[in-house]
Amino acid sequence: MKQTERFSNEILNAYLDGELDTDEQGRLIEALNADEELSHRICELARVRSMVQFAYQDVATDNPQHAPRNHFRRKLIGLAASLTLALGATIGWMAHQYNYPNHGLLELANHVEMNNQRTRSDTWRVLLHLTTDNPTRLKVVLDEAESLLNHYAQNKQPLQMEILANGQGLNLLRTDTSIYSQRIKAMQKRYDNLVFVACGTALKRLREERRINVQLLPNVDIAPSAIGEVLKKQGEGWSYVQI
Amino acid sequence: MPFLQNLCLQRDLRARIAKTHGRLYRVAYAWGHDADLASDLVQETMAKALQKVSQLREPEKLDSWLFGIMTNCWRDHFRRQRDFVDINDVNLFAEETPEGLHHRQDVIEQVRHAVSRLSEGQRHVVTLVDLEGFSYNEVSNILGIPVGTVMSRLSRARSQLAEMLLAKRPEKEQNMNMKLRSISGA
Repeated sequence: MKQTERFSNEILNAYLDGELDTDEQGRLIEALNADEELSHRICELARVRSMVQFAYQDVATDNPQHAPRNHFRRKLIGLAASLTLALGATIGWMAHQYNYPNHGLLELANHVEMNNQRTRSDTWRVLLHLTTDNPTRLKVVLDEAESLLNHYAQNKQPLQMEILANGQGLNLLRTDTSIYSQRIKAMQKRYDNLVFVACGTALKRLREERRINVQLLPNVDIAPSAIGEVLKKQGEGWSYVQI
Repeated sequence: MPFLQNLCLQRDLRARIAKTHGRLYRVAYAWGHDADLASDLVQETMAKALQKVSQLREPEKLDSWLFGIMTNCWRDHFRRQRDFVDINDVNLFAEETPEGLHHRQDVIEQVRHAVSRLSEGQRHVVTLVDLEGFSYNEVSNILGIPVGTVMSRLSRARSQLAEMLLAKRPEKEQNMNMKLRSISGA
């Protein structure tokens, strides 16, 4: 009986594509040593495969100027419109999946705008805007911030994070009211891509209206105003979460 | 997964989806040999993928997930047009007639023409394996067919391509007068 009769075309193709297990490979290789016709069959299959690869290697892949044909246009416009809702849907899904013991950051967030446009340096920049001094919410924010910073550090991906505080949120950054002064100090030391920023307008208001000379924690920056800072960062492509 | 970490994963996935454009286009072109159709298919695929990226449970399977979406877009496209297509009625190779190609020496044109004459199912399998290097299991998931069917379609595809492309004389080219189902190939 000829050796070639033992091996179907399916087996020969699977051998060519690296889909055989070790035993099957071994049997086939042994047969190949003795059977020229078997070798010829595999050679033909290899030639066909390389011809297919060759025939499409120069297919033009960039076609940015092409406009969709009419019968797709309506569907694409519909999809494009729905993409603006997709963020909401995405957040809705994540809210469903998010399972924090008491409260999720998403539940707490008043506003979320995720920016997917890549910056020149491909760094993801995220601005967390605190307007609350609720201890539970503050813990969630700091926990999630550290989790994200760690994740990016471990994956060696660039991330820039700013935690901006105004209104009640400023209490987190005041030496006289902060409940996380040690933790913030540790975070500042550990993550050089993290910065805490206080709202200058809020500080000024405290000083002038309530006669409180606020002392901020060490190494906290001051922005002229929270609104200005938010608009500036959004204009620069930062993602934004307000709590 | 924490909320912000999820946002970060979504962003990474979206960037990877955008990078797959060229590969999707190459396979879409090999399926239909129609640049307009390929372009439309890829745009629709990527729009759907970006919309549904939050539903992707296994990010490491992004590639086969994307090609699975494109397969569905392809099937939807032809389902809208007609259910049953005779290969002799449809010139899948938009730029050239088979008679014109008969005398062409250009290997690329000959191969593309031969691929276009395969049944749809065989064409899908052989392009996903040869152009994208997907495993048989991955192709099975992308096309929604058993692995055994992947192997038999691939085997028949390569045999027919060998018959068309490696024949010594052009007169030996078979007249494959087979019916082509636009939704699933034989």
